[in-house]
Amino acid sequence: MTDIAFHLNGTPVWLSDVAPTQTLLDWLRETRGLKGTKEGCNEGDCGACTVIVTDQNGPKALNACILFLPQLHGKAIRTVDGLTAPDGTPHPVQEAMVSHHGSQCGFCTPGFVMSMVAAHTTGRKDHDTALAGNLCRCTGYAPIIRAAKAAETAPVPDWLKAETDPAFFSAQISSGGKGAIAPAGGADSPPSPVCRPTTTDDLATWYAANPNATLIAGATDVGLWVTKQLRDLAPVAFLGGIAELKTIHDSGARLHVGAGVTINQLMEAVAPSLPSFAELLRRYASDQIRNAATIGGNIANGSPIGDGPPALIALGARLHLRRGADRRDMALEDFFLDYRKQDRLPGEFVEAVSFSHTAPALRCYKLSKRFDQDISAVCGCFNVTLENGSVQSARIAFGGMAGTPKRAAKAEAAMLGKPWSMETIIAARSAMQGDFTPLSDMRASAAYRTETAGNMLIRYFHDLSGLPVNVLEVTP
Amino acid sequence: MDGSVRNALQNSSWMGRAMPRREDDRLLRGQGVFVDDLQAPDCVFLEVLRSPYPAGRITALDVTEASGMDGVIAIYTAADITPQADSAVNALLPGAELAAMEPLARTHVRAAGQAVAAIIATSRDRARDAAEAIWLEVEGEPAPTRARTQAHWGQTLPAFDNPVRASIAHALVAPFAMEPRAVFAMPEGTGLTVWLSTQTPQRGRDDLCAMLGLDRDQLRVIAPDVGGAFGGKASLMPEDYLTAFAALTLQRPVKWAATRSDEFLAATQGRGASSHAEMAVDATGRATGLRAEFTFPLGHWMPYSALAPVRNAGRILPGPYTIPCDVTAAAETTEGAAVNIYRGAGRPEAAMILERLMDRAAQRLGIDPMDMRRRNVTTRLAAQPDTPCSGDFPGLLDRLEQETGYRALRAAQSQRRAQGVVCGLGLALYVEPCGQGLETASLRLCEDGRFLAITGSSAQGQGRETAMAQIVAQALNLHPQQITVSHGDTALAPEGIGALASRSTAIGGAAMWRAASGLLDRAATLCAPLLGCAPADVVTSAEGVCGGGNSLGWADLAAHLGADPLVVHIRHEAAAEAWASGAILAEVVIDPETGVLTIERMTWVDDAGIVINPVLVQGQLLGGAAQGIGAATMERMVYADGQLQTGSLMDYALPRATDMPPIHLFSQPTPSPANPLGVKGVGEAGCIGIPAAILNAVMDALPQGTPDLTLPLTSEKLWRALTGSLQ
Repeated sequence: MTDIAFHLNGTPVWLSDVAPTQTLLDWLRETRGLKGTKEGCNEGDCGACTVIVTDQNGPKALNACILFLPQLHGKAIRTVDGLTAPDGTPHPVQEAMVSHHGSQCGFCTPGFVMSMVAAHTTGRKDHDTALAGNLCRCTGYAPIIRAAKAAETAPVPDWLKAETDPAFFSAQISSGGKGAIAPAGGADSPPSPVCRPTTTDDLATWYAANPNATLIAGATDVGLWVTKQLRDLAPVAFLGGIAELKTIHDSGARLHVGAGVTINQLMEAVAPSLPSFAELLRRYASDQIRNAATIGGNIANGSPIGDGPPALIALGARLHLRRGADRRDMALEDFFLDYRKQDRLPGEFVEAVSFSHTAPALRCYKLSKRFDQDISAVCGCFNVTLENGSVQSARIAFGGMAGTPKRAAKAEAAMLGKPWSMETIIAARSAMQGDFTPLSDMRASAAYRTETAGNMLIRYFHDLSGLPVNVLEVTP
Repeated sequence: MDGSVRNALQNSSWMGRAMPRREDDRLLRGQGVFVDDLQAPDCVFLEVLRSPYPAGRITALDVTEASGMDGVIAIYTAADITPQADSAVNALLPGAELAAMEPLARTHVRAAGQAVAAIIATSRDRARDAAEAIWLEVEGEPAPTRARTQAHWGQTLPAFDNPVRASIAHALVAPFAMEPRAVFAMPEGTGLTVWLSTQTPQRGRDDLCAMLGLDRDQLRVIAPDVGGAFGGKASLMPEDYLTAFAALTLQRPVKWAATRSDEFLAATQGRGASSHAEMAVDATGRATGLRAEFTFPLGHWMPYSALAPVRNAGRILPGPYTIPCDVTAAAETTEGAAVNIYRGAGRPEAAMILERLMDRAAQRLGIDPMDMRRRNVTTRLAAQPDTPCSGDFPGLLDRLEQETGYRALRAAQSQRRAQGVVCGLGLALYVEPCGQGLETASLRLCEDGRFLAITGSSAQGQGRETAMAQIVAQALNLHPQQITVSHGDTALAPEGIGALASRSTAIGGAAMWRAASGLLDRAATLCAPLLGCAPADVVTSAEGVCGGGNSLGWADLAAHLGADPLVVHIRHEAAAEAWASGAILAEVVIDPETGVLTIERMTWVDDAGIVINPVLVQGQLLGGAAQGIGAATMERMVYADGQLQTGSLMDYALPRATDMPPIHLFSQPTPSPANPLGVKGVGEAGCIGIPAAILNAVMDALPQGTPDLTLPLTSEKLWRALTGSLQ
């Protein structure tokens, strides 16, 4: 149990003895009686429960169904129930939805509206991307996209402006209007099932003493353990209060990314230098999920189909781990031992990942049943450097081809020192047969995975030669 | 149409206007009220224990430990429930065998996901905890076939000489309303009030009454805001009965709301049929005979409308063409969730096989697919039952050709192919029969001078309230704002069918139009003496009635009528079936290296008859198209060894905003003679025509001689087709 404070639709809320895995959605609907936010899937896939959560970094759309209440401490939440002006005047997005027939049955509508308002407040115009995390089964989406476009030019309503002002947070939110709440747990506190550390030192001490604990950052995966698998999680630590984990440090040669950096923040950071990685991260998940999910969670989870690790391995990333006072680091590919088995000691956690962001030849290709936000059937990431027309270095890593994210070592070896030519690529593709024995599942057969992974190599060759290779570029 | 209605029609033009929806304000503010939003202070919660095992014999089911857990009020197994009747199944086909619902598995589990026990507890969490504590053992046994059905349409045709052939395997798909199913049952007197997320409140009431042993007047069903349905909320489901039974037995409010997992495991599914067909064609491109065989899976039990897809597929062939037909359709129960109507319900299956055969024939004869269709479209409208009521099929094709620049597209396609682009054009011409039978409407002048319109049709997002108000406003020369529209409550509309089969405007709208006409006639008769004019001279307007230089406001008229108000009830039996139709062209490219399909553009000319509100029509077309695109390209429920493999949105691919291609809509209506408004249905068109056009475009893009593809058209399948490695 733990105490938290936040703002809800402009009103301060203090809660004592909050169960750590109580979701915001359940609390809103069942405890608070605010029924506007809907449960469509309870796994962060449909967006019907989207709310806006604002902190010092601005407003973000998040899925309330897999947000635990302690994650909201010190933030401002806006739900559809509190979106109109005090006098009932609708938000411009709501008006645009009416005039463009953006709602039919109305069940997904509150979630769409909140995603649209988040985008509108921050001035985003990439509506397809901003709304990719919201499912609608009635409208066919086009009217909703038209509504989002139509609302672009309307000013942010006065009644929402306060929440976009950073001063608002320092003045109102961070303390929740009360004295700051000390984190539970820590070195000198009695053992507590809920730890909310504010420094990595605190976390390290507590986690070393509670190695069976579950660490919760974005909860986009752990959330499902609770909502779908009905697991009891205790003890737990919420990492959202640790500022150090959220930093991105650019040393010039390398980017040092804290484990608590969200996928969206990482995407923004790598977009200028590694556009292909950024595009992969865009397809990684919906805006709501990318706003919550962290790169540390993506790595530590060890999923064979996580999209972060193949790209990071291709970049030669090193993983920085910490246990108590001990720190170590390793090549990211060495972290993944076997299916869902990582080289992580009890009480050890991912502190950061660092990688070179000078990799003009990095290309990331993702193949999935659906273009956006689908689990990869195959995710292939390629990073080759050439000298005098020959391959000087090659790092090729795949997701979906083995029980872990894995390098194509034989294919790499087949290229090293060879001229950069189709012949070399074909030879490397043959060598790659020895790198992987993928599984057949309903996402793709082994043969399809093998063939398309090889074809990605050919695509990479064409890509570096400047030929159009994106399927979206084939259209006239 | 009598004189006074004609008079009103000339004075107002509410029909055909793109009016904003009156439903939107509350929905946009998050103030829609869906079943799970309702609460009562002493409400308890029902959860269902579903069999994690596929078919088999129950060897152990022990609820002792669970029954003693905190907050548990009752646990029911099959032995504890007492249905007074089998669930109703619509025996649409002669001699059909039926397999009624087993609300809880008795001696055998018939499919994974079947309900085995119902737990009622003071909170959902407690009910779930108790469900986990129930001990269930199932010994695997093959599922027996519970029911088989076969039917024939048309004539028995002799063997064809060298016909063209096609086969299609439709995937099972999830109707997937965004709002999961939900029931909230509250004891009321000797019976119940049941809030149900349903398309069919009246049938829900009748089916529940039969199973609970209640009289009609003891049970009221209310469908509040319903978050989409698409056929998935058309028939009574086990949880509906269990929740009502629990409320009646325990005499307290009981609520059940499906999780998305419940929906994937145990809600009804759609499609899943396979079809094999052959068509004889002569040298001039005339089709001279069509033989088609459909096989439909039914899942492990049959909801009320389980046989509707079978019947629709059989009866609507040869669709928009004139071809002698020999059609058989068979259906049988299978291990898996129940398969029921899903948007289109048999029409998509019929349209797709027919449109494939048209393309195959065109290809063999070297005729352009557009011309092949022109040579075969029917002009024999309403020649007999199950033929289109109206429609200009050559006109649809002409318009499509003109709007797409079809000939130029074909030329461009040749050029692109020469550059190595794998691209295709796909045509589909389709029909959409829009339902038969009755619907009710009543219209009343209220004391305050406003009108209350009650329709037996229900609503799940179609904008019914907006459209019905436009119909009444048109007929009575009122402003739509003067009319309150009510639906979905059996206390207000005891009789009715609900929203199914694209029927609500054609039949429900016609009923409302007749109610308005009747009210106008009565008003004229009643008011003529008051106004001092002949009934034929009485004119209505937003203000009231006038004639002979005098006028009377609506509220004054209501006050004058006092205890004998102006009210008309209509029970409208449709004399004929309205048939919508349309023509679609899909343009696709396929990435040769990965098989990724991109739909570049869809152009769609539709004939939905007279349009009440074009905004609502476009909403139905685009929404249906999204589902059609989903079914054609990505949606598929997968079972392996009796276990569902696609139990979440991570594994079941549903179209998102970025999956939608540009869709260009063109309206080319012909009025339907089947109803006084000239309207047709439009809800299912997207699911009927769009997948057929996409499949034809894909087959056009792939090398000649590519074998028939199964649905959905995933990248892997297309890649296999391109690389000659289809399995």
